[in-house]
Amino acid sequence: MEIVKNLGKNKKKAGKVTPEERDEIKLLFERKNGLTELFKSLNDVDTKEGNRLYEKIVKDMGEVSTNFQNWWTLKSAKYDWESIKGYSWEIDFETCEIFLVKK
Amino acid sequence: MLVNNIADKLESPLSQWQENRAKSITFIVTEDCQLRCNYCYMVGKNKRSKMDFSIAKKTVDYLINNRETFPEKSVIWDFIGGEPFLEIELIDEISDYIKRITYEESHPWFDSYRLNFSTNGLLYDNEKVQKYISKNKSHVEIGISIDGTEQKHNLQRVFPNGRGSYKEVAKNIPLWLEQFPNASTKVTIASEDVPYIKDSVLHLFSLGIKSVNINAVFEDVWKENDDKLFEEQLIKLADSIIEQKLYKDFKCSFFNKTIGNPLDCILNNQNWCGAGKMLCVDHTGDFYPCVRFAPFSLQNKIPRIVGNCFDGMDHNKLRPFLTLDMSTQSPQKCMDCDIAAGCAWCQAANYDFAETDTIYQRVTYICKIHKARVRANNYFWHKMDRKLAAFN
Amino acid sequence: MVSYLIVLLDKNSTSFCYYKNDSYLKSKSELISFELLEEIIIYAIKNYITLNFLYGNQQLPENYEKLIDSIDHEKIFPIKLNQVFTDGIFVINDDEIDLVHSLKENEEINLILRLPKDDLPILSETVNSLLGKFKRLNLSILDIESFTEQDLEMYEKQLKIIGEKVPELYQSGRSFELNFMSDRLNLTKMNNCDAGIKHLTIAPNGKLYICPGFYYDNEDDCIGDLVDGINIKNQRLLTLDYSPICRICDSYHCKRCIYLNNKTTLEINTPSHQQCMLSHLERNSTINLLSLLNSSKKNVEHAVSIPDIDYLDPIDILEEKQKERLNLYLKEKKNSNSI
Repeated sequence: MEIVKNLGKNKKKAGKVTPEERDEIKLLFERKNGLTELFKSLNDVDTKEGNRLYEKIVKDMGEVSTNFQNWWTLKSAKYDWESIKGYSWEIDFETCEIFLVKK
Repeated sequence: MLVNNIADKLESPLSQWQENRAKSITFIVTEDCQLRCNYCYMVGKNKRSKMDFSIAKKTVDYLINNRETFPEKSVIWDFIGGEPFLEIELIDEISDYIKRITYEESHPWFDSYRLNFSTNGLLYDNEKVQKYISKNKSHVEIGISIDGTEQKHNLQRVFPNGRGSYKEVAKNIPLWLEQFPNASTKVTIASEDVPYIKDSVLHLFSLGIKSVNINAVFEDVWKENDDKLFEEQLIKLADSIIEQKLYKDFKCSFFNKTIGNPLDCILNNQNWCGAGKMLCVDHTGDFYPCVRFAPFSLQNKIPRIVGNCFDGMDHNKLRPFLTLDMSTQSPQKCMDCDIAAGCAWCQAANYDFAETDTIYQRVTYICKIHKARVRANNYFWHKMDRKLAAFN
Repeated sequence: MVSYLIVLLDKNSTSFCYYKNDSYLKSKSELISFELLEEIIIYAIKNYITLNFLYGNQQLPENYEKLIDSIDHEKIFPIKLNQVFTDGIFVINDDEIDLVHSLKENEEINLILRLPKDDLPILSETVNSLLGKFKRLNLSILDIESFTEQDLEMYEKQLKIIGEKVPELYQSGRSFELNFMSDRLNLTKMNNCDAGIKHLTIAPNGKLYICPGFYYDNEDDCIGDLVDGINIKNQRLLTLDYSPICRICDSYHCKRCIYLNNKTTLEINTPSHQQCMLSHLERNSTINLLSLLNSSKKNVEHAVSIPDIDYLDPIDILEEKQKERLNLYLKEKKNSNSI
């Protein structure tokens, strides 16, 4: 599920989460982006130190991605959000609203 | 709902991120710039002073190893010049180090940071700059300074030989907006720019820039009747925004519902200026409360240093910036003003132009300009409210 | 309104406060001119101003003393001259601590003890040996700006030792004052140095200064003279209302030394962290003293109650108050932008 801050066309409101739940996914979202961009900045993977860092990032990325996916799964079940083929759920971090947005 | 959308647009993206709770760290990576903008407060631009990576590293290490002094959950790493993109390789190296060290140290800032740039836009399409943006896309916020119409922009934003820079900047705007659709621009207004305000803001909207933040300079440049002309321009702008329904998608910082009220000297006494709460470091490793206290930004006074990356923060030197408030710096006319809300101050301008070496003497050269803004703002909202009432 | 003037009789006059005069003792005497002294005295008479004469380490010529005696005044002199003068304010400088033991009991004299930070471990011993020998003791700890947390702890410890001995003096019925401990017992509002407001300094060059510290730091930093008058730029910053930290503070006995403020924070209206800490440790020592006196049923005339607080630096509550106001401001801003 993708998250974007800007709301485009072809969207429909699916529900809302609490600010605390929003903070959970926001943290995961930030961490995921952070790990991705840290990964891009690695230029010493061939070294022992670089390799150690690489392995750590991969492991963390795995954990974050799992938690990220789990959040959507759990919340969609909890709130029973509508699901449409060809659409994905997105969150507005400011309003905590969940939207279905055409892919 | 419509007003909520307008209200949503009243704030620029960065000021919404973490709502004033992020620590802002500014690296003056260079004092060099391709331009010599006439109104620029950086009066000492030069090619000599460039930051070495070791200084940036020492600064970052100091910050993350002193969590008690810097307890904020989030950080904005701000890169400034001169023109920061002249040192994109250095910036890349610093950014990579920041990412790495905050991750390795499990510092909370790894999960909550932004990389912020204010650029003149000339190097925006440069290959290295684009590579950097792509590498850090989800964390980067970039503002390009484009001042409005070509005529207005070229009045002030000029190369050393006096030639205007509009064409070179404007060609990069589409790419910039494609990459940052919600980006804002910072427009500076001095006396000569006033006749072009309305057309400039509308022009920027027409380029697709959704958020235009405009600031009048604090210096003593304002002439007789500038305020009247300023008010006329803002009213014409207000009419255009409302008649063309531009308020749906665009915002201009001139029009804000929170300005123009009296301020309670106790309840509204806080200092809105971030000097002292942010931290700025230059190429020597000296810390300043804001870039405007660095040597190349001051005309009349010696710099206000609040520490350095070797010895750390000098908390005593920082104290005045943390305690400055409206009532302590303002003359009686400001305290008695019925429309004081929204009237800005700049602690560095206070310091540079004060009778003594103090930040506690408010510079009020923009007084009439603020009053003119309030009158135009009242006009705008009066018209908007009626339009919305009719709509509802 | 300026009500008294400190007259530096000698370029190398003793210091009597936090500022240092490195030339005291090291250099030859450079007396103020007799003509200028005459002008000052006439000025004081015409303008209802009291004069405090600040001496160097040598006696003045007889004609100077005769001129000084022609007007009501106060003398401030180094303890070295205590054989010459019997009345006035004695200054005990850091290299004169040994002379303390030679002082005889004299309930009328006022003492100023200038103690460097390095001598903190002997503070209580020094003060306790002076108890009973004076009417009033003013303590000026030097090098405050370099105080570490350890120094503050040492100071607190020394105050506690002094505080345990002081009640004995009250029990004996002696009347005395310790600026750092007993002053706060009776104060209900700020009682500070007020340099630049209630008093100014005139130097041997004929120029006026906010206090001697500013003169010794930079002779060009003058604020006028007797002929052209006084011109203090941004004078409001000397007052309590224009000090965000001090105006919320109740360490009323604090000197609020603007010279130190300027040295440490670069703003005359902003005290250093160390100055605030010291004043609050002293304030708390007053609370302890009051408690000891109450438990031994010794009433101190006009003593006021001093509330317990959980901070030593008022900037800590200033930031709290600012955060509260910021949150309120952001909330109001959001509410005002929506219907």
